[in-house]
Amino acid sequence: MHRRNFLNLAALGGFSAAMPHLAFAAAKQVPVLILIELNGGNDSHNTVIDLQQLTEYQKLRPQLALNKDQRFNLDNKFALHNALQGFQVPWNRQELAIVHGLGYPQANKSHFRSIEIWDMATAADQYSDTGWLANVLPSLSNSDITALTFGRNAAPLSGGRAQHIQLDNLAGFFERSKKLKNHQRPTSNSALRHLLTLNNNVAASKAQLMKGLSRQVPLATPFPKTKFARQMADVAKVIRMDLNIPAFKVAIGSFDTHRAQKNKHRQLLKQLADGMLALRSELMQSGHWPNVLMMTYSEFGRRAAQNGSGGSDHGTAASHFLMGGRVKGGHFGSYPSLSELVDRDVLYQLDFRSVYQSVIRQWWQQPEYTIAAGLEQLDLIHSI
Amino acid sequence: MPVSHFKSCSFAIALIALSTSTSWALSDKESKHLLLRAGFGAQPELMEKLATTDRARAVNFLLDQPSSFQAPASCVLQALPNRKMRKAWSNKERIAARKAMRVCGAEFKTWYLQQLIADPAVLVNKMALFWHNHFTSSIKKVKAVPLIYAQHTKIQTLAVGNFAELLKAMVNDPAMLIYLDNINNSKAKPNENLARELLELFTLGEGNYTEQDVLSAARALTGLSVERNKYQRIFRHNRHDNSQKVIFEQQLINDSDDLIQAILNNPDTAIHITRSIWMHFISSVNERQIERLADDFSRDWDIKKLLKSILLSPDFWQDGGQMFKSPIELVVGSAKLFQLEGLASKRTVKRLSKMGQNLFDPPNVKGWPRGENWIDENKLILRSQFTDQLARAVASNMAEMTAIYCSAEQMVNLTAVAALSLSTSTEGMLRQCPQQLTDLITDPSWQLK
Repeated sequence: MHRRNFLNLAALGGFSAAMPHLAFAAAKQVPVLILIELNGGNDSHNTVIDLQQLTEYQKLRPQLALNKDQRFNLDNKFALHNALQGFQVPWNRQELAIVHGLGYPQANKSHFRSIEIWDMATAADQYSDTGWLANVLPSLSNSDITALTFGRNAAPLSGGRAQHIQLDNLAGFFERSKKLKNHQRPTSNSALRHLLTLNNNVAASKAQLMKGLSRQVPLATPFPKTKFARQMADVAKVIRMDLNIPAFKVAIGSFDTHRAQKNKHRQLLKQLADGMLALRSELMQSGHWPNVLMMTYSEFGRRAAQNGSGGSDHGTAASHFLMGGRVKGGHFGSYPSLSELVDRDVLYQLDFRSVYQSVIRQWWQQPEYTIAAGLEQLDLIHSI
Repeated sequence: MPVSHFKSCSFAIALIALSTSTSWALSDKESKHLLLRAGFGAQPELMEKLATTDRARAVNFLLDQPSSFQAPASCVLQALPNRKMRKAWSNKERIAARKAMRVCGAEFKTWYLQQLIADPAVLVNKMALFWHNHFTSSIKKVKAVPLIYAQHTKIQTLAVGNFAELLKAMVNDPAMLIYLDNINNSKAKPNENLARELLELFTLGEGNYTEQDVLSAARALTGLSVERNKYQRIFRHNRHDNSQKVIFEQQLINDSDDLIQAILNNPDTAIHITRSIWMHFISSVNERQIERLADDFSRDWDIKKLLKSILLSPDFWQDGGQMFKSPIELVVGSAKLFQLEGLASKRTVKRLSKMGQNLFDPPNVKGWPRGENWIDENKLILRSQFTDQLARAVASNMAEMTAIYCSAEQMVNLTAVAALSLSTSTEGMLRQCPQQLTDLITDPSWQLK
């Protein structure tokens, strides 16, 4: 308790980064995962470019391909979209992992079904109502609330034992929840029971978050004014409250760029990078950074070739980012071949559930945890 | 009880059940249920109408109520600027035109809310809302409000009409063609957006088609576009892929009409549409029943007939209070019950959007949420903020209108499930009526139907 208070005081004073033992203080808290959903299906081919396949890439995308001025070389093998320029710093400090070729067999190209597959971590022909984190979180923390979702889609956290709430922003949530009465009563009506559960969740989370907020957490970093960045600022705030909440989810979109893609995609990637980097900067200053992991995901990548509308249609495999203070920086998986297409799409190289399982095992130290048999283990995290 | 004894009674029991369920006059509870689901709530004037009818007549009565919408604002009816006019615009004029269109969009949404509150044809409007959520288009992407209005008019006209006609109208609808990028779908480079959503969401349902089908459908839809002068649907022959395409393994198609026919011939279409409409009115699915109804539906695509079968099915009548009101049902129902025409405002439209139902602008092509997904913690708070204000408006306006609810019998009809212990004495009720109504409106049961 004393340590927590000290941590906050230190953060307020702005001298926390200079004090090395603060990283240890933060580590007393459960490690935090921030899931970032790139809603709509991010065009991975225009996010991460394999420099060894440039010719093929340009052939598939005569107009859509990023030219030299629209990308930058991250290393001698891969380039990133210019909007992600800020990723160079965490990359150089080995805090950024890029996992290539993520997908699953029998790719489903429906937005709604495919995101469900990613959210539930099932095979393409399996159906489940339980999000991949929903039964993992309760064993990690004794907090009343184990996850917060900002904005759309709480599916990865729903359907299990995890207590989670979904909100748009903290300030609005507090302002409006003040007046909410608690209507608890026994009922056999399942619809009414759903409402009463939500009602109870609000009451519980309000109490818990209030406890944290009473200690005031003014942020040291200016966050951009986009919706995504504001929500990332809220996530940073809650992390700085040290409430032992292990998971957060934020969504950004829409990446469903069938048409006139270039401008829109650049804006979205810029928002993504700015929001992620602001959170990184804030939590580095507060000393929480070693305890934080951000991970992107999306329902699918997009078609290898451009379509006729300056955009791209639904595809399959994609590269995704993991950024955090204890991430083992570098490339994982392998970039799919752009010349060996099946049904006009690239072939996935690595089951996305390998990443999930590795994260649960290494980030939360659950070495036995298994999502499915036979998943490849990736060495993604430095142990404390 | 011995089985044989049980069996001998069953015929008589079945007879009694049959007569109580279909041909006898509706109880208040049944009328309330029907009006909450097939309408926006148990409005006293409708309760009175239904009191002397049986189930079948009640459903017919609701289906036959004529809809009469007033004309929307003039900006919605105006012709869109043609190419020549647009070309002559200065930058400033272009920005002004864009802004005017956004303002028009907001007015249009308010107009729709107004019509929903004022129009007596509750069931037709419930179905129009269903189709808006099925054949989704977004005003944010389409931008041209007159096109969204034209689409709405088709939906409103065919809401309880013929599905085959409606499907054809939607595939050829300019707003739809823009929304799902078919205006850019050409022979050289097919754009799959409309093709995929047509199969996945509008007709067959996810899992009932292959990637090859999506590609064939996309190619069949090539050349179907919108001309940029009067914004009418146009078929551009030179951009159409004229070769034969194979869909559903063996059917040969060429253009969009062939595609629609192939889709209608596919039994999964009737099942998917029947199930979707079923779930609009009933909380749990009954696949056997749905399959049976779908089989009938595929013979004539008569939406009205299908609706009747769904609303007269035992599943419907056993389902009281098991569904959540959508935000628009919450708002329109409250406005109708308490005659709060003032709720038809821009402010309410914004509030609906916050509660998750931005009119003419669903969050994605799958539409607004359904079932439990309507309400999370955040939405619960926003809904209770709305009901708090509603309760204040009702309590401060306890004139003749709201006074009609000041009896135990009337108050029971206001919610799908019992809200709280209501005062039973007439005297107590009158004295406490404002408080009772406030408690009722702010109770979670107000969110149910």
